[in-house]
Amino acid sequence: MRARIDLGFAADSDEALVKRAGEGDRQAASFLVARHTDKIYAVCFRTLRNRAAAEDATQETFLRLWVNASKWRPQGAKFETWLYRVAMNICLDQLRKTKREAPEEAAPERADSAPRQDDALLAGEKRLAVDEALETLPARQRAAISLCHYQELSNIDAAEVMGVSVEALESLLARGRRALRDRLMPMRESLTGKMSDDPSANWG
Amino acid sequence: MTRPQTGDKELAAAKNCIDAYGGDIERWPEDARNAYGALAMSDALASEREAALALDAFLDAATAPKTADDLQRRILADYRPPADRTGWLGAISASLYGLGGFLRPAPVGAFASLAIAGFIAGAVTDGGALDPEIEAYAYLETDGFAEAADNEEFPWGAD
Repeated sequence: MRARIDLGFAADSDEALVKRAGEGDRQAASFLVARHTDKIYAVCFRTLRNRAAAEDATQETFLRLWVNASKWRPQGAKFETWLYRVAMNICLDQLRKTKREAPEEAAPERADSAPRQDDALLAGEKRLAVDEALETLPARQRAAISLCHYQELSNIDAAEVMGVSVEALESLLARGRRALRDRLMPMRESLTGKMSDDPSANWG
Repeated sequence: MTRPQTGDKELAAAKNCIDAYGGDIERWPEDARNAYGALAMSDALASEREAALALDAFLDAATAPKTADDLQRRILADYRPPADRTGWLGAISASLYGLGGFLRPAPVGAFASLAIAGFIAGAVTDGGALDPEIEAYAYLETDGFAEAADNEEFPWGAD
């Protein structure tokens, strides 16, 4: 019987679960947490680039959900878009606060961004290069790439999360990708050990 | 099926889609894919698409976020049924509820929670009920993203 009840919850829409959580149903709340924590944490982590800060932001996002669950109304927006937007709001507030209070720590760009010839072939080198390149992006560009490329939100949903038009989102994406390309392209040789005439041959 | 037009305008639009959404047209928005997907796959934009695919591959190599084992438990620990937050004592509980973030290390939005909690606590009347206007205000504050967006105060700085 318990399994049947659980399956019933699992099939429920987010909106139904929020309503039940707002009425005091802890199990509905637990399903929302199970369903969305990883996604919210991922976008927080990719925006903040810090594990502890991302966990705090994720926890804060759900705290705001709990506080507002009994009053939440769809108002045309999908719940998940709403939740992403709350998370993004918190992340950007956090970044602004960090920048204001500790500007020397707000720009995580590493001086040692040049390719290191000695371990260019290590598997982790490529990941490190991408992580560093992502860190150097302005927060909005990083957020746009996080939402569209990693979270695979539609352009309309991502624009809604960020509170911008679709055209502005596309501009953020294009600028972010261009900056990443400018930063990573020169590193292809050291990351793969050889160059090729084919622009994509060394990138796989 | 209509053949894609290859005027400069269409070519530029297809290139813009590659620039924004990458080299894999399956990941493009459906309307963009329908309008410019075939053009993006043409020889005219082959180099742009290949470079974008290369960047896509790089992006996929980034560190995958992994949540801490106890994060879900911590999030659920913050959950309080609304029954715990009604009445006179509930108002205090609600105030403390908003402090959940404040009590964590390196809290996010804790000062806002504290301000809201104090505001709510101050709004409790002799009868133990919240002033409806204050309660509504508190709700809007905690739900601030929507209000901020409406007022163009959403915290996106210029890049």
